[in-house]
Formats: sequence, structure tokens, C-alpha cells
Amino acid sequence: MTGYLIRRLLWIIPVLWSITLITFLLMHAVKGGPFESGETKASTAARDALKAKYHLDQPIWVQYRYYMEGLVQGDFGPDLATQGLSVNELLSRSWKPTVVLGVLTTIYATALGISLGILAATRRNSVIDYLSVGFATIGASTPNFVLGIMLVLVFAVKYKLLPAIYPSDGLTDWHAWVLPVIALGSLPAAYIARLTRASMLEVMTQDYIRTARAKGLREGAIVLRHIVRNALIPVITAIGPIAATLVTGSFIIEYFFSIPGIGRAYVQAILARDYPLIMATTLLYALVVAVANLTVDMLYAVIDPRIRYS
Amino acid sequence: MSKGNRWFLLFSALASVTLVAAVACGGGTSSTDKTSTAAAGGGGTTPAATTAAGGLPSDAAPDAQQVLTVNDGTTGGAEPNTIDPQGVAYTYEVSIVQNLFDTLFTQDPKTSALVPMGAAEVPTTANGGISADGLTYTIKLNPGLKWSDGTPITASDWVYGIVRGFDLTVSGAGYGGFITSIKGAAAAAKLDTKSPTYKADVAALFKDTVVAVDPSTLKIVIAAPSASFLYNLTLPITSAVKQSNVEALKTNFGLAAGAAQMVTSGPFTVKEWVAKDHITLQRSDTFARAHKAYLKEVTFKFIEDQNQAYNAYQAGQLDEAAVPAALFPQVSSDASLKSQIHQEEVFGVDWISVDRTIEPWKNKDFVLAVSQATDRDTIAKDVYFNTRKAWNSPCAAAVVACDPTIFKTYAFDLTAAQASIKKAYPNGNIPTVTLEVPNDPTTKALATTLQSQWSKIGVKTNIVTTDQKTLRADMKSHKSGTQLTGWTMDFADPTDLWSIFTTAQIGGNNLGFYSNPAYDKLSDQQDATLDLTQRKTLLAQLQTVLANDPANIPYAVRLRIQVFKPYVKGLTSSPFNWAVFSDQTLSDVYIAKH
Amino acid sequence: MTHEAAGAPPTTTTGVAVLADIAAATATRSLWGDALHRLTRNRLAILGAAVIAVMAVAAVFAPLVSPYPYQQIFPGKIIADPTLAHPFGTTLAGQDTLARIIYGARNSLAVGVFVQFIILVIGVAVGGGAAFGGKRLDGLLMRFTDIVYAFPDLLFVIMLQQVLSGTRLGGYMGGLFVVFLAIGFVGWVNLARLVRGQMLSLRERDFVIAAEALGASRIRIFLRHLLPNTLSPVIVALTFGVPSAIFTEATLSFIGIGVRPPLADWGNMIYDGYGAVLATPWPIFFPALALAITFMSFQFLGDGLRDALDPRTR
Repeated sequence: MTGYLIRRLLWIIPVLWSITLITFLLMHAVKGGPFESGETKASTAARDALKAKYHLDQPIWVQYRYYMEGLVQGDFGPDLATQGLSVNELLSRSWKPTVVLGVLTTIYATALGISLGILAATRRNSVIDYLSVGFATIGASTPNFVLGIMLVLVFAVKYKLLPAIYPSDGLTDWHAWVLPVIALGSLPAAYIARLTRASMLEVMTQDYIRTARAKGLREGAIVLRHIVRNALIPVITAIGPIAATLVTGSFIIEYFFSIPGIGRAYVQAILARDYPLIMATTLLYALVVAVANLTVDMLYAVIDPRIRYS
Repeated sequence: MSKGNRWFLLFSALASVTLVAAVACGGGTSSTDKTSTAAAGGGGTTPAATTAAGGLPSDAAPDAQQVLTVNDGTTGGAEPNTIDPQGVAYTYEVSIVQNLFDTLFTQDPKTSALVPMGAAEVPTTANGGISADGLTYTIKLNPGLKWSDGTPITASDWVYGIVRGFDLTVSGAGYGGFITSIKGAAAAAKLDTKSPTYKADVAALFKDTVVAVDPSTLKIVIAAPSASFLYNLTLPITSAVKQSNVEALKTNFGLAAGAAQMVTSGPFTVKEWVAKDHITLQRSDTFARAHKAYLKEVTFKFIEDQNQAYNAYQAGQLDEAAVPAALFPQVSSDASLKSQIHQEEVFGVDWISVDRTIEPWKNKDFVLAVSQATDRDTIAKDVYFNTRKAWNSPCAAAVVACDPTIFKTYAFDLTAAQASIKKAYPNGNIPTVTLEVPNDPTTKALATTLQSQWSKIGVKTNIVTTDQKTLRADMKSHKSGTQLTGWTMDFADPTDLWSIFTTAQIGGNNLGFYSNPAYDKLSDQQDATLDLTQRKTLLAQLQTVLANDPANIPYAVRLRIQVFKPYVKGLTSSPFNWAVFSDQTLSDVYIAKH
Repeated sequence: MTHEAAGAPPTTTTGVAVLADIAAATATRSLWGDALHRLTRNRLAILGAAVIAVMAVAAVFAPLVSPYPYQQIFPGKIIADPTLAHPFGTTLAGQDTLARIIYGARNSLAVGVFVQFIILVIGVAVGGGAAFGGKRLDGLLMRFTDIVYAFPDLLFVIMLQQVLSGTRLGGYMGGLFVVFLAIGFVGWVNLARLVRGQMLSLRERDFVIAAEALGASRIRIFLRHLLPNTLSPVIVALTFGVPSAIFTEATLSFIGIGVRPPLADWGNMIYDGYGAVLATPWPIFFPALALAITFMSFQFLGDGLRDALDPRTR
């Protein structure tokens, strides 16, 4: 197991290296450059000077070498859009909102999804069941940006209860997170609710539950100790990849709410052809996905003794 | 899942749809802002402010509340690439920079006449400021002005700033095309920027043409008489910057990394610039040209999506936002929102730049045909909800000697368009044209409307949506052939506009690669003509050349429509401005008690 | 070097995870008959299928069904409220919303279906190749899968789309073709893992071992036994994949990537409607509704198929 874990961890390095190569080639294939301005009134000589400064006038493999030389020393390079700042500086600021959003959304989606799923399964065919199944269906069929638009219109524009865009002190202000978290988390919450409910219903028909009932255990104890515990195993293993998806897939919500996180930086970087920032954000996200993937595989082994890694 | 359950699922799905509808409808009527109405009443009844000596206007809120948060949405709401006055290139940069750095002159917001700023007076031949041959300008500086670090601003600071504008490696030189009148500019443009002695070479060229005669007198020699020269000294590229500060900050001068350490000459300094989020300016306590700024702090939030910014305004997060075109009819008919609107014509024209070197735009009759097929009234009404005015001349009405009657050949006229297209392509084999546009809903609506209008004369149009970088790259490489753009005037002098269609500006502001020798000659001639009557004659000839051989397809004059919270006072309007705040700087703006 | 136990659930948040432990039943003719029978008894799934069928027909025969051409502009009728002439109102460009939703179904469904086709081809080829091509090929393909999997997919789609749109491909199908390719190229990973896992576990099953013992060729075993038995979870995965591809495309449209005007697609319509949503909700409401209904229909059908093809989960 330990040997396997080490092998998997080491394997992340060539994966990330391939990603640097593919991303580097792809982004240089996109038309336009970081110093091509979108409007008028810009001079050619100044642009050439900037290109030379950042080696953009060199052949692509030379540029790649420069980049990789910096990268192995932990230097993500200069940020071309805000010249003078390094990508490291930018990321050191922008990872926080992204992680806060990811963590809060995971908590929201998990807590809401699991409780709705348990409620629905234990009160089958009751109003609660119908409501939670209804929520699961609506939640899963509304794209998060549509939900975001509706939430902003109602809670920010109409009732002025919550901010429409990320406030400057957002990290310490809980108001900033309510709408983005609901917009981003409702789809996974709906998915988790479905999963929990289905898993609960399956466990409830198992023999050992019947045995527990036959032994005369109290219903509450049965539900908590036996059904929920067993039913949550597949749910918990699903949360890992969901969290990874939430972190890497939050860019549309970050963009919509102007949250200065990594996702918004990525979209802006692509539009601005900010090469080093594109590289850095892609690599970070790839790392998150790879680690989440590994964690889940490990989790399977812990939970299900039938799975053995060698 | 039981069957009953599944049916309920369907039912709830339908219920959700109803819910969505209800929410959406709620949004539709949500703009009535009760809290703002109350605030508007309060602010409106306060008598006009009078400035207490050295203090805030009498109706102003306490100093602690003198904080303004804006998006600057009418100039795009974008993050500046730089706030180095010699490096700025875009209106969204200048609207910030003009609060940080004074220029020698500025324009009167009502008359566009030159007003001294860093200078003590406007030089004329009468006051001895301009030599008899019209080549030497002697400029007396405004005494007692100080940098934000408390040191005096002297003539050598101005020399350093102006000459720095010619240094293409340090500066972006966005406005470099406008300061070419100064003697030495032509030679400076030819210098090798990669030479190790480049900076010294640049300075040497202007040793005798941009000179500090004494600490309070500046002398500038120009190469040939120029009617527009003094107007060039209103551009940020001619601002004084403090040499020791620039050299200390090195390449970070003007960038987010060094912004807070910049020594400024205007009413504000930079408090902080948080990259990709906002820039905050704070009052400069050493500012002595006029009263100190009323506002303690101004924050420019970088939000490029107008809808987002408008939502944030409604949610109380911004004190200013641009009104998205589609919302204008509703906002302007809403009693409380109406009073928050500040509406003004932008001093400039929107047009479609066409690549005059490639088919079919090479063919001037084709350009005329397309222009004549463009129904600008419908565009103004349907696409822009009357937030733009139909307009078919390349010059805005307020540009000196602009004569829209000359450009009647451009106007919408389907019969004329049919004739022109027949002349351009007698055999009817009209090539397909491409419209590359950014992907915002309004611009896409414009593109589809143009496509439908041009199809009436048999012109097929491919619409490609893409981002600004690609647009620019494709136009430069002669791939797209069109770009929706325009020109906002930097100052009222016509040279600011007409020079951009000259051959010399290809690769710069001449996006359509327009080149017409007769036009080039007239453009130079008119600028060198100081006599206004003679100059007007030349300008009429120049416009006639352009009317018969179009450089672009003008279609509208933009209205700048913003909402300001009712407590934002001290805003003045001006037909000669393109920045958010008409008074050039924000020093007269304040927050009223509310 | 296989790092994943055969049949271990693939790591995904889509419906695929739910299917993970579906074991293939033996291939008999009655399997499909039984499944069809079970499916027809599931009214919600039938409803989903019916809605999808109606949409598909409307999409195919759009010129006959639609009240107006999708690109026709009605001057003076901009973001108009629903009326008899325009039952769903008009768009920001003054086009009929209903017409654009019908034509938009073409593009949105095409995205869903073509993307699944690309996913099917690559997924089965890679998954099947890994399961059946020997240890070295398996290692190679699975390593490749790891790399693609680690790419943040939506972000990769954006970049790929940007690259491809500059090429000649960018013009095909009004820009949609590159969207198919981009979403398809990153979407096959889960299916490949599913196929590989299924096939590896099937290989240990009695009927395959029996066929091998009887001297059946590897290709024959692959085609006759493994492929058909992998089919049912694949069908279910693809059914769930259609709406998620449509969602992806809609999300891309929202940040300005997608079909070229005047072509219509639902995501783009939502984005365009957002520009005027404070003035009128209708231009955003109807395409969002179409998207939601499509999503639910595929969800119902997918649930039904899963239940029908694998009776054990009932």
C-alpha cells in the first residue's frame, strides 16, 4: 500500500509535466499575444520592447525552456497583464477566495444533500420526500449561472440584502459568500441528495437492518447506527471528486460574482493571453484533480477491504 | 423509487419552472429603489454648495464619509495596463491618471478653450509666449505647486516628463503620435531602442528644444508651425513626473507593484492598487493648484461586465455605474432612477473600421454601398435603445470645422446603395464580408442587424464572435477586414481626429490601413495653417476627399449614460469630455450629507 | 501496474458513478427484450423519451415547425413580451424567441449527441484497447488517460476551443464543430475507465473463460461477448452524458464561447437575455426552461434505462 501510494504520488510529476507541455503549445497556438491591445492608441516599439523583455520574441522551445527553468525553482514567472507583479504574488492572493468558495460550497452541498437524502429516505412518500426529490430535480437541471442570475436579482438588486459582486473585504465578510455558494453548490447538493436517498433505500432493505428491527432496537438507533452509517459510504467517496470539481469548476461563478480567485484569473488570463498565468492556473488545477483522484482511490481501499492495491 | 414518487418528481419539476418564472418576473420590476428615492429627496433639497475656505462644501458629509466607489463603466471599467502618464494609451487609464498628474493645460469643460493648469497662463503671440515665427513657446509655470512628497515642481520636472514621452522603451508611448510637433521628435522616432545609449540619445535630441530656462520657465521649440500644438500639452504624456521617483521605482513606476510609491502632482495619490480588483486613490495633502480634493478616497472597481456593475450599483456596492443599453428605456422612465442619470454625448464617433487594402473593402464604391445600406436610425433605436444617436460623419459635430453635409454620400439610402454596389461589382459577384465582434449581447445584436441590413443589397456577412485580442490580431493581419471601433477626441482641435487617417498612422491608430496621398497632404497642411479661415478651407477640402474615398463607416455618436447615487455632488457636465467625470479631475466631487 | 481494482467505481460526479458496480448480465436475447419491457413500464422514463423525441423531431424539421426563420429580425420589436404573434416574445436582436428555441434545439441537441459520439468512439477504443491489448498497452493508455483526466476539463475546453476557432475548422457548423471536438476530447476519460473496468471483470466470468477454452479468437470474444455485455452501462452513461454536454456548452456560451450569430443555441440565448434581464425576464426564461426540460428528460430516461438494464438496483 505505501509503495503503491509513493508510486502514485511520483506519477503526478510526469502527468504535470505533460500538462505543462500541452498547455504551453496550446496557448501559444491561440491567436493574439499579451501585448496586442484591443483598442487603438498603442505604439509598436513599446510592444516590441515588452515582448523582448519577456522573451516572447524568441522561438517557442526557448520560451518553454525559460519557463521550465523557473518552474523547477518554484517560480511561475512574471504576470504579463500586471507587469511588475509575479504570478506567485498573484496566486498567493487569489488562492484564498477560491479555497474558501470551494470549502464552503462543499460543506453546503454535503450538509444539504445528505440531510435531504436522509430525510427523504426515512420519510418516504411524505411531503418532505417530495420536496427534497423536487429540489434534487430542480437543482440538477438549473445551470449554476442561471441560478446565480436569479439569486443576484432577488437578493442583491431587489431586496439589497446581499452583495451582487465580491466586496473588497470579502474574505472576512460572510455576506460575500451566501449567493456564490448557493449558486455553485446547489447542483452537487442535488446530486448528493439523490445519491444518499438511493443508497439509504438500498441499505434499508438489507437483511441486517431487518435483523436489527427484529432484535427490537429503537428506530432512531437503527437509522443512525446502521442505515446512515452504511449508506454514507458511497456518498463520502463521491465527495472527493465533487470537491475537486467545485474548486476547478468555480470559474464561471467567480467570473459572475467578480470573486478575485484563481478561476476568474484563469478566464482573464486566457482573454489577455497572459501566458505564465494560464500555465500556473492550469497546473494548480491539475494538481488538485490529481490529488483528489488519488485520495478517492485510497479512500476506496480504506472503506472497502475487498479492494487491494499493489 | 415508487411510481407515485416519480409522478411527484415530474410535478415538482413543473413547479420549479413556475418558480423560475416568478423569480424572473420579480427581477423585472426590481429597479424601483425605495431607499434611493428617500436619499434623492434628501440630497435634492439641500441648497447649492458653497465652498468654505480650505474646507468641504457646506452640505458635504463629514470628512470620514468622503469616500467614493466607482466602476468607470463608460470607459469600459477595465483595469489600467499602467498609470504611468507617459505610458497610458486608453481612456480608462486616463480617467485615473488625470487625477494623479497635472498637465500644463487643460480644456474648459464648457468652451473647450485652453485653461492653464501646471502653467501660469496660456502662451499667445500677444503675451510673448509664442515667438513671431510661431516656433518657440515660452511657458511660465504656475508658482508654488508641489509634488505629493512636498518638494516643489520645477521646469526641469516638466522637461524630464515631456522628453520621457519620446522614450519608447520606458513608456508605452500611447499618445506618442500626438507630440510629434516638437523639434527632435522625428529624429527620436528613428533611434535604435536597443542601443545601450538610447536614453541619453533621446535626451540629447531635445537638449535645445525642451529647455528649463529657469525653475519657473519652460521653453519648447517645435519643428513647424502647428495650430494644435498647445492642445497636445493637455495630454497625459506631457505631464511632469519626478525623475528621482521614476528612477527609484524603475520598471514598477506606473504598475501595480509600484503605484503606492508614486510621487504625483495632481489632487490625488495612489493608496493601493490591488491587481485585477481595484485601485484606490487618496487625497494629496500637498496639492496647491486649487483647493484640495474634497474626497478622501476614490476607489475604481474593475468590472468589465456592465450588467454586473449595474447590479452592484443597485445593491449599494457602487456609487456610480454605466447603464446597460437594454435597461435605458426602463431606467429613464423610472421616477427615482431618472434623477440619478447623468447623460452626455461622448465627444467622438463610433464607426466600422474597414481594411482598405483587401477585397472587397479595397473598392471604395463597395464601402460607400455598405455605408448607404446601413440604416443608422434603426440601429440607434433597436440595438442601442437610443443610447446612441444615428450619425454618418467621421467627425463629431463639436469638432472645429466638421461639416456633416459633406458626408451625405455616406447616409442611409437604399437606392444609392443599389447603384453603388452595381458600380462596385457590375457582374454581381459580391464577395462575402466578415464582421468580427466581441461576444457581448448588444454588439452581437448590432452585428446581426448589420448583416440583415446589408443583405438587402446582396452583401453576405459572416459574423464571428471572438475576444478583443483576436479581433485586434485579425485586423492587423488583414484577416477580418472589419473592426467595430471609433474615435473619442482627446481635445477639440481637429488634428486629433484627422491625423489618424494618414499613411503615417498605419500600424498605429489608422486601423483600416487607409492611404490617400491627397489626404495626407491636406492633413499636414491644415495643421500647419495658423489662420483659422484658411485652415477651415483646407479642412473642408480634406473632408471632401474622405467623403469620396471613405476610410470607415461611421454609424453613431455614443451617449455616456451613468447613474450616480444622489449624494454624489460636484459633478459638472461637458460636451468636450470623454472621461467619466467631466471636470477632468475628481477634486470638486464630494459626498453630500445623506 | 494497474492501480485500480477491476470494477472500482470511476471517480466522477456524473451518473456514471452510480453505475459503477453494475455487472453485466449474460448476453441473451431476452435481456434486451426484458429491458425494453421494464423501460416501457416506467412512465417517467417514457415521458422523458417522448419529450426528447418531440424535441428531436422539432429540431430536424425546424424549418417546417418554426413560425419564423431564426435569423429574421422584427424592427421595433426588441425584447418584446410574449404576444400571439411571438408566443415566447422576442430577443435582444429583435428575433422571435420561439423560432430561436426550435432552431437552438438543433444546435444544443447536436452538441449533446455528437459529443457523446466522440466520447463513445474514443472511450471504447481506449478502454477496450487497455483491457484487451496486453499489459503494456494497458499501462500506456491508462497513463494517457491519467494525463487527460488531470486536465481541468472545462478550462481545457476553453483553450482548445480558442485554438481551434482560429483554424479552418472554426467555421464549420457556425463554430459548433470545434465545440464538439473540444468537449468530446476531454470527456471520454470516464467512459474509457468504465469500459476497461467492465471488460476486465467480464474476462474473469465463466462464459468468457468457456469461450476461450473452446478456442474462440480474441477478436471474436471481444466482439461477441465483451462488447455487447459492456453496452448497457455504456448506454446509460451516454444518456446521462448528453445533458451534461449541453450544460457544458451552455456554460461556455455564457462566457462568450460558442456558436456564431445569427445561429441560435440555448446557452447563448440565456447569455444574451442576461444583458436585458432587469428589463424583461422572458428572453432568459424560455431558453432556461428548454434547457431544464431537456436535462430532466434525459435524467428520467437515464434513470429508467439504468433500472431497466440492471434489474438488481431496483
